[in-house]
Amino acid sequence: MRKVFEIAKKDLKIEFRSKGTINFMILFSLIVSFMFSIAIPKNVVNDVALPLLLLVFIFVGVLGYSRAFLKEAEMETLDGLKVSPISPSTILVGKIIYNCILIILIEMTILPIFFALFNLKINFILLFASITIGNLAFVTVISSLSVLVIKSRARELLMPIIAFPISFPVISSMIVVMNSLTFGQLNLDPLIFISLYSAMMLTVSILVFDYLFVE
Amino acid sequence: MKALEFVNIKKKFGNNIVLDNVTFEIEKKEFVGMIGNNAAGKTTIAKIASGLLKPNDGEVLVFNRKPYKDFKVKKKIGFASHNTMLYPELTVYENLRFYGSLYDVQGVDEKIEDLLKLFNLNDVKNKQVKDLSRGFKQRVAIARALMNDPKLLILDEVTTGLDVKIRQRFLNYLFELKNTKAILFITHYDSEIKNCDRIIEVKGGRVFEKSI
Repeated sequence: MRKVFEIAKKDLKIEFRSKGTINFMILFSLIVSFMFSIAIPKNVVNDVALPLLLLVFIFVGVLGYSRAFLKEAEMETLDGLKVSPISPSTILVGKIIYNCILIILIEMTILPIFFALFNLKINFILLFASITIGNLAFVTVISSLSVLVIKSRARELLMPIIAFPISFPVISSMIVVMNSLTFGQLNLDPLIFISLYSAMMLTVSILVFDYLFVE
Repeated sequence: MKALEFVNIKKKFGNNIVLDNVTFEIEKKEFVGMIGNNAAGKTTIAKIASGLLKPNDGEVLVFNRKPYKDFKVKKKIGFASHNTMLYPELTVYENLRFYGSLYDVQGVDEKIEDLLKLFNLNDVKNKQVKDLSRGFKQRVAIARALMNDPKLLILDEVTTGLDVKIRQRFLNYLFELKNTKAILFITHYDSEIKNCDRIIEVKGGRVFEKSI
């Protein structure tokens, strides 16, 4: 477990120095949020704001989470991890933890701005918790899949094609959660389903990752 | 138990057969030099031996274990190549510290200090790797491979980019390690392997013993 955190710590250190991913993710979220806030008519804001927020995080996630592996492949440092005495699943979990920390930081930046832009009257804590659970599921799915597209020349295009069908249960459940929050309630069932789905995806990924990792 | 065994190894990328029935072995404290032209298959041999690649056919064993499958045996392997495998945004010290933690190196700070001294890297230890010249990066990469005091050291064209003084210093150090660990030293230069126990030549994906 210590080595998992060493990998996540190393990635965070690199990210905070280069700011190559986090800046782009925050900027992208801000641009999309501003565009939505301008484009959406005031009378329907309350109905569509939360699904749009979900859309922002889906876009950001698909583009950003896979960077953890793709960056290592581009810098040719992935070989350094591969020759080290650590299991491939240790690397995967390290990357998932790194992406989780990254997305929580982005949520902490974007959510208050989104709230202000749309003048939302929703419980912030509940929304933050729900979005975090959904995002953690995306992180698990996309981090696990990104190793599949590393060798592809069109990896940025390939990722959404693979990720969306596999993330579909998470997306549809999150829409139900967002809907319930719009009406001032929290539907726990889909959140439980998302948590279980994440756990299942993580387990499957850990089981098959050793085979995917060796060329 | 041999340090490294290749038994009828075959490796192909697509339809291109890179290694064809490669068989050789390295004893525990043997220093083996490996030479060959470009695209002969030397780097593929190094990658298979270090566990980076899995052979299509045949068996590769490092201390009787498959390196591509059994990640624990990699603790006994040190691997450096022309790809430095270093993180550009981390400093020299942070890179060595990170890899040291992955290998569970005991007394990691002392070990780093020794290696920094050996490769004359003390002045740049707090510099980010991206700010270093190719030669300095290569020195750090070699230091990284020696961090875990490996029982099998695989060096793939690591002297490329080193200046004459550091290259000679490194070769002297390498020959001091003779009889302490198994070494597979891959190079283009005959002069660098003249003191090896044995020389293997790689030609068109096959290996041949070469007289010293």
